[in-house]
Amino acid sequence: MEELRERRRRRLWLVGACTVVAAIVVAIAIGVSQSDSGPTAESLAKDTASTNALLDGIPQRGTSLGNPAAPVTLTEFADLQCPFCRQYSRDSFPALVRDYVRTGKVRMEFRALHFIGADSIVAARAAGAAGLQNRLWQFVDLFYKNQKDENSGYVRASFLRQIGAAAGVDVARLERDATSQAVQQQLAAANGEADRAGIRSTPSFLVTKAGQQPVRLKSPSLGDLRAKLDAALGT
Amino acid sequence: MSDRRLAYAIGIVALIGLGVASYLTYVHYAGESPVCLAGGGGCEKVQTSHYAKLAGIPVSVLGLVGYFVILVSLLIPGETGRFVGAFTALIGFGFSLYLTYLELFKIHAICQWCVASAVLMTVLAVLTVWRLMEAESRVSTIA
Repeated sequence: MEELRERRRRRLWLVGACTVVAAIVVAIAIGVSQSDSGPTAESLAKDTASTNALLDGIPQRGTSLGNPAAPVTLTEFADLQCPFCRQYSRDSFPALVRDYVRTGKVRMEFRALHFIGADSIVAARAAGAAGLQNRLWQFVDLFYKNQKDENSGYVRASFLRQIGAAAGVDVARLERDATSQAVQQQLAAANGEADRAGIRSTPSFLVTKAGQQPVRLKSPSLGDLRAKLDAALGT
Repeated sequence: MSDRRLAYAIGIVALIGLGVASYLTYVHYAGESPVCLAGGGGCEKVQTSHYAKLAGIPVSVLGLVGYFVILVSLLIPGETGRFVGAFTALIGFGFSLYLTYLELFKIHAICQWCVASAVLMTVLAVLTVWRLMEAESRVSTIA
């Protein structure tokens, strides 16, 4: 009887120890998963190469990409934390740049909205600051390629420095400009423009041609965008 | 419940878990979206989030390994097999708790496949610990 009780006690200890060790293993794994501090140099180099291949040689000024005299403007309203904006950037943006922007037919404008959370504001300010160095589009494209979950706290200074350096901006200047009056005004103007256009979600777009009413698009497919751009271009 | 029945029950649940983990591993590497029964894209959002990998390894692969080890533990005779099974299932249970927390509070999306796996791993943790305890008391009683 005593032996039975002793064995039972030993077994309970074993199960308890097993549970504690399992908990420690899980805690270590969680620690490893949360210490993910940003993209690796190798993945960032790959992303930078594809971004540069897409955008190199296209005129860029502030928030504009492409021929300043292009007959049609495509204005993108986006939150850098928004996963659907990343989807647009991955699935539609390269084809639009290749077929419409590089050919001089369409100019793109970027409007950084920031409603998802605190990380959106920090990211939008950094994008605006990259625009002051005429590298906004590289910054935005690389940001999307390395986007993580909304409000998970990944938009830290170290992350922005990595993306900024990969986008080819002067990182020290980017950090200074991010809190500048010019960038604040740029973001306020983007919000005002979105309000006036009745834009409530991202990604949203305006297709504008001089003398015509702008066409508003909400989370469009590549086909939708092509159709509206072609209609505006009259092709 | 007899040790044999517990082993059968563990085997069946682990096999179902292996199926779920295999499917999620397949869609991960095939670049496809998991079929989400209620729609809404919750599975895709969870699968494509950066939490879907742990130290570069897809979580579904870790699940696959976990279920496989639990199945293999049934083939190991005696206390060692029961211990390996319970230990692995307890680790799996801890992970499932963490992953469910991420789905609810970080990713803000629920993947039905992940919920199914979490339920299976919880059942396995109960069954394997039960088997570990039962076997000893039965041996003791016989002795």
